[in-house]
Amino acid sequence: MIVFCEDCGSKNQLNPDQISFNQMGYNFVSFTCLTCQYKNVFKIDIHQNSNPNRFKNVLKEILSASSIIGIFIFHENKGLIYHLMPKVLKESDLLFLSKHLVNAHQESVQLFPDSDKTIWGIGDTHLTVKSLVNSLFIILASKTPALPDHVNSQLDLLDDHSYNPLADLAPGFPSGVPLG
Amino acid sequence: MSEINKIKDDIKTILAQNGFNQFILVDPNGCIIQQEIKRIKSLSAVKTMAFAKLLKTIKQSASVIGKNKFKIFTISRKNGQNIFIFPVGKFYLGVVKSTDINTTLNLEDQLNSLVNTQLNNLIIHLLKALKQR
Repeated sequence: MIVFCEDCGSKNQLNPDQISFNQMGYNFVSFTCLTCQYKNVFKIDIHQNSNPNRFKNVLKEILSASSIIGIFIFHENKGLIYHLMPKVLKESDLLFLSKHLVNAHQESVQLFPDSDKTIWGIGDTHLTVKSLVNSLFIILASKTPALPDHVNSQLDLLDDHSYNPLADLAPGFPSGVPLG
Repeated sequence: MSEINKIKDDIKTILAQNGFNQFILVDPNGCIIQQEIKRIKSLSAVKTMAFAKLLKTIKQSASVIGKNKFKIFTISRKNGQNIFIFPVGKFYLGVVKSTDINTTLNLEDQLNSLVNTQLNNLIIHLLKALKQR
C-alpha cells in the first residue's frame, strides 16, 4: 500500500503489518518516512476487508458472460439498490419485477430450505434469483436457463458472509442510491 | 384399477421415462387437484398449504410479469431434486426431477414438449375423471 508522509509528502510503500485496525475496522498506519525519517501515525479512510469495487467488479465479471443479459440487486427492505440492465428498462419496472421474483423465491426457500436458486422461464428470457448476505438478492437475466459454471463460481464469491456488499453498492443509502 | 389411477399411472410413467419421478397438479386457485409427491405427502398440513400458496403466488406473479409468455418456474435444490412448475391449460403442474438425471439436458424444452404432446391429453382426461367421481 502506498501512503504519503505527513511532513515531507514523500511516497512510502507500506507492508500489511504496518497497518492496524481499531474495533470499528478503520485503518491506522504507523511508519517512519524513508526520506525525512518523520514518524507518521494517522488514520486512513479505508475500511478493513473493503475493496471499494469488489462487489461491482464481480457483477461486471458475471455480466461479461455471453449468455447474461443483465443483473439487478434487490434489498428486502430497501428495494432495488443497483442494476446493470439494458437502459430500455425503467427502474420502476425493475422494482416491480424484483418484488414478485423475490417474493416467490422467499416462499420457495421457506418451503424447501435447501433451495439454492429459483428460475423463471419467460419467453426466451430466464430470470434467476439467489439470496445473498444481509437480506440482499441477486437477479440475473439470461438467455439460457442454466448459468455457465464460471458464473456460478462468481455467485459463490458474492455469498461471502464476512463482507457487507451494501457498503459497496449503496454507501449513502437511503440518501443517495447509486442506481445504474 | 380405477380410471383415475390408470391415468395417474400413465402420467407417472411418461414423467419417469423422462427423468421425473413425482408430480402435483393444482387448479387456478392453487388448490391441489392431484398429488404424487412423496415428500409433499409426508409434509405437515401447514406445509402442504404453504406449497399450494407458493403455486398460487407463482400463478399470480406469472400472469403479471410474464403475461402469456410464462413457461416454467424452477426451484433449484442442493439435493438435486429440483422442482419444475409450469402451466398446463388453466392448471399448474409441478414435477420433481430424479437425482440421477443428466443435468446438461435442456429440461425446460423437454417439459414443454411433453406438455404439448403426451401430458396435456392425459391431464385433461384426469380432470374429467375427477369431475365425474
